[in-house]
Amino acid sequence: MTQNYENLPQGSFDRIPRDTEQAERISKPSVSFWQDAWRRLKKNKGAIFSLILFGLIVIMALLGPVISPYEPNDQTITHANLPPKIPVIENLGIFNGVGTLGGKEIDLYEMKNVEQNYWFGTDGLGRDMFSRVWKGTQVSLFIAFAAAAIDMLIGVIYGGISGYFGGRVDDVMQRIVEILTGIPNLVVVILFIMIMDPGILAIIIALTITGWTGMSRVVRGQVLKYKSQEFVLAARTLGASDGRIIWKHLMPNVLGVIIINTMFTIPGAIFFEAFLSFIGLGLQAPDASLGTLINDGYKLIQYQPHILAIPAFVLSLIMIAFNLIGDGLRDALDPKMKD
Amino acid sequence: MKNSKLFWLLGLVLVLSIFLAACGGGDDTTDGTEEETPEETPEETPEDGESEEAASGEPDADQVLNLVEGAEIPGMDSATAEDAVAFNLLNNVNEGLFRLNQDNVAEPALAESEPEVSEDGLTYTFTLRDANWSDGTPITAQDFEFAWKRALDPEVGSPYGPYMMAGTIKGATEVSEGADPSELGVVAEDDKTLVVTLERPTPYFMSLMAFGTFYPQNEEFVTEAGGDYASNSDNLLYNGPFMLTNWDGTGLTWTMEKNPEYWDADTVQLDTINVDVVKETSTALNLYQSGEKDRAGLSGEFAMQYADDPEVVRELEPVLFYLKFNQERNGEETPLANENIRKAISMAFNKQDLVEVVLANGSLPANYLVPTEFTFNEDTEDFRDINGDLTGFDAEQAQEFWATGLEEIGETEVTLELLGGDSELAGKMDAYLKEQMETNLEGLTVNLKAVPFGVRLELDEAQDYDMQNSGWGPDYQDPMTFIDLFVTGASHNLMSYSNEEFDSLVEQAKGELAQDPAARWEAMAEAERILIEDDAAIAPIYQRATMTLQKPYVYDIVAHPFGGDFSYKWAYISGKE
Amino acid sequence: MARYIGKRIIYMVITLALIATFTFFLMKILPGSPIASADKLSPEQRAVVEARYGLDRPLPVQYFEYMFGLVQGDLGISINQFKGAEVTDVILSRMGPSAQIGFQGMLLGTAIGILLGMIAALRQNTWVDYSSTIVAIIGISIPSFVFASMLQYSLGLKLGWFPVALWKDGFMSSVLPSIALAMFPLATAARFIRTEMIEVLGSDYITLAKAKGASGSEIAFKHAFRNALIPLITVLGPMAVAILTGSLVVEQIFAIPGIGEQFVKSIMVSDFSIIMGTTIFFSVFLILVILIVDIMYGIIDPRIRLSGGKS
Repeated sequence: MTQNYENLPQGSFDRIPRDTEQAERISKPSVSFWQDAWRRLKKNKGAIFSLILFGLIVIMALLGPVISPYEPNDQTITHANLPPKIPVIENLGIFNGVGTLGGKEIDLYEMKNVEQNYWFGTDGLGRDMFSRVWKGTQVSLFIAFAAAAIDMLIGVIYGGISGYFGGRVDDVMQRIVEILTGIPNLVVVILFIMIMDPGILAIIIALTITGWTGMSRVVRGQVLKYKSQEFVLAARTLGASDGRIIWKHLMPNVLGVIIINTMFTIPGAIFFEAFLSFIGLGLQAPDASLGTLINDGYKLIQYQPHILAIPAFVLSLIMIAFNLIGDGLRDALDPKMKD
Repeated sequence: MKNSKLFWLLGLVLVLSIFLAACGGGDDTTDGTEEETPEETPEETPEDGESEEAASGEPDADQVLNLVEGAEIPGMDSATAEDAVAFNLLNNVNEGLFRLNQDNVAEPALAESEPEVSEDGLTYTFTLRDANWSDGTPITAQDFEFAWKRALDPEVGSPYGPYMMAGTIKGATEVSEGADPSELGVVAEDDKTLVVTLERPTPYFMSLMAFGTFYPQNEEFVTEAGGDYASNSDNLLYNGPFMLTNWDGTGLTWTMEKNPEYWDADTVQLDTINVDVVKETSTALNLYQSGEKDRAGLSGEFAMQYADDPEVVRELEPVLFYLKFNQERNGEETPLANENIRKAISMAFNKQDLVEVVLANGSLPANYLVPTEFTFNEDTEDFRDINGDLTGFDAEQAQEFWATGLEEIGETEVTLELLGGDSELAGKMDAYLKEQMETNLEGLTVNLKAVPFGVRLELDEAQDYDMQNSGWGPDYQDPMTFIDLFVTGASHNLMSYSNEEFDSLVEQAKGELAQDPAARWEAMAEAERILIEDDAAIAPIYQRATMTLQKPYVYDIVAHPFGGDFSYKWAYISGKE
Repeated sequence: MARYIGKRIIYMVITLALIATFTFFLMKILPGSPIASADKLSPEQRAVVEARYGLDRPLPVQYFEYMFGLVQGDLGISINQFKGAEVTDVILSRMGPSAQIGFQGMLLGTAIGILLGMIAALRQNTWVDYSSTIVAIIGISIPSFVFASMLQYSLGLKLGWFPVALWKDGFMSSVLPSIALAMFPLATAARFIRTEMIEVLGSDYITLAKAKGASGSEIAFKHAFRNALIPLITVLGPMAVAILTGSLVVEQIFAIPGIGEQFVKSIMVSDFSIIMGTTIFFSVFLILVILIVDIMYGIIDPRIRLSGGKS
């Protein structure tokens, strides 16, 4: 070995002196927490696909009622109960306007002399299902996002205060939460909808009246965990105010959990709205939401499956998308998984 | 979580397959029914043959009828009964002096024969036939006296007692307000003779005697049971064709069994009727198709699918649905106080399309108040024939009225609330009405408000609504049961409608004209005309019909226009096996 | 431990008292009249009926009377849903079927869910994993009333394996409703177990067990599964609530005399006594579940000391 070393030509090697200035240099490019999370999220095909899918659903919810030639609430009573019919695709044997009537299969468009095409068919009042489904998606998403946003706001503030100040404040605040969670939220929601004038607002308020407790628990737990850690202690020693500690030091750490929790609140709210429609406390006619549309349709599953199938399909897509985005975010925001 | 493309493919395929399965479910039905039809036809042919024989009297050995009911029994005390389920049951397990027969004519039941009526039409003397309660004790005239007084007792709090008796039976109003019960014009002269004194001549009194509130009750039994009376099927006595059994007071199921003590037990052919409460129409339909139930009601969506089904039974009911126009809300006049606005709205929706497409069950568009095929005079002429149609859908004329009305109230836009029920059908119908009205009347906005029944009653009572989709079924067989709803200050008016001429016509029909049927009908017809044609106080929508699937082996269930909905006394099963 | 449970029970009673108060006053602002044919009653009669149910007295008096009755286990009398029946009797007679389908649904759902979750975790990122995830997601993305009516139509009517509806054939009647109720616990358990097991499988002690030569199944069951099971208990609470909500729908569709469908009806007819009674019953149930979950947690997982009470 030694001989070989001597045989090497001179000047091939430089001696690298120890450079104290370079020792601390970070060779990887600096990435913030969020950039890192985004990078990890991008690797998760399911989450990305879900994001795109969800984006498409939102676009359709906004554009759908516009591109349809019919208004969601306009009734053409002579065109009631038509099955879906889409040009071109109809040649494949599906969406061809053939439906069942009295146990027989017939082209209902031909029977009723309907020239137009209803892409998703029509309902019992001759309203265009295409625009109703997308309008309903819009309404459902609005209810869900509004409920989730309010939950987040109240939950974060409540949980944050409770967790951060601790002691007696925490005790009292937790007892209040305990009472609220002790009443089945189903009962509270139903009672509040009965008290208020039925409608979108009533549903949102009813959903949030106890909904925020879940968020507050999660936030409180996280704040409790982080507030006794060294970096918070250090900040406090340096004289940071409570507000600064909460916003600058605790929030960024808790944010991940908040986002994940919200991702699961949204489908929950959409689902609960559907349930309310079932017991007759949902949205007021003629407004549509995915819940009311599914509720209108499920009884007719044997006869006019399109009235149920299409909104149920959209609902399932939204549920799947949110669950996968939630899963993806949980993985991406988990600092333990940093690579 | 790392996902491959495979995952996504699989996911989509699975989700899609669920819905394809759902759609496939629909196709299955088609196939199923198509398969069933040829299967059934050969079966049916002998069945038809059998049924022809059956018509000549060959009921099966096994006489069991299986039915569904839409709601629980809230209570079985005939004095306090107030809902359709209870009245229907009472009609089959109990009986009054009269009973509606197969032709819906009141005929003597516990009364031996038609009563003796005094010349002034005020005193009725009934003679009772020999009949027993289900425990074997005889039914006496005292049982009637006791039951009727009980129904009037303020402590009992019967809603129908005072409502049906006050103003009809002498002293009923006073007794219901706490006067001495002995002042009531009902006296049991002896065990078999009941004398009833009326306040004023009442031409339809016989049909009242078939109503549940007028059924007898055994004093000893009621007193003994105390608070537990009618709390379950053991704490009741029966005197009708059937006895109620297996009802625990809160359950969803009960049974009716043939009552061996019934005086006309020979006529009754059914041994058992099994009833289960099923609240979902689709579930009831599935039970019917699986053969577990013999009848199933069909609502709007289902009606269309079964329109041509041979097992469908259609029944036109004397139940009218109409819009109430509230003229004064919270002490302030609403736009509906204007006659032209009311007329415009009442003409602005297409009733024909409504009954054909939305209801699709044989209901009739109504342009009147008193239903058709409900009341007939001695020459069997329908009351409906006097006035015919009093209003109707006419978009152009509606617009004219609308323009005039708007000018009169000095507005260009009007927003009105439409209060309705929370059932799916009600929601659909109200959505239809809203769209029709808004399309045909420019500047009108209709806001729908669907609430549960209890809430609607409260809003109605507080007169806190603009328009209300309301329904009314008769309490007795006379046009008056519809007409006197709208007298000034009547407990059902609740919309500040008041017309002196209308009031005086109703008063005449109830008072001085009571003994003169022809003039009385004229007065009532004129009142109806004023209410709808002149004042448009309400806007009739439709007269209800029901569509029911009934197995071909079920015969002779009789539907009634008021009181209990059905009688099973004459029903029988033939050709089921 | 005993001290902890004692303290919790005292808290429970206070919580219940507050819930009863809250619901009581909420009820009083609820629209609708419990007197069904109010339009047919004269003012005098009405006063009598109201007096019978104590509706005429001042609110504070009504409140204290109700609370006094509650302490003695008296929930009052039904006003119009089952005229004159004791609310406790109504609840007791309707509890059985709900409890049965709820329990069976939960058992079935959790069992299949755990199985799916375990298989998914052990075969992580294979098609087995993906399809079990999809089953789980579908379980929570189809509303229970849609699923229930699909079951009724397919397995009940078309195939005839089970009764279409009604509560007549004992266990057979409870099968379809239980399956319909099982979907949510199934989905929750499957997802939960999968996540937990993957985490546990990656931990140091599993590596140690592997290094010591433990077999695959031994690792899966003896080590990973047991530890993954512990956190599942925490979701029992929300699961019980979901079953409660679900049972209401399922009972109505399958025409089962349960407490859920009775509760909906009582709200629709504004029967205050029944609404109150059922709400309190539900609350007791829920609080008990939470308490049991906490105690179980302490017993199963020695790392958690109950006296702290903070989580």
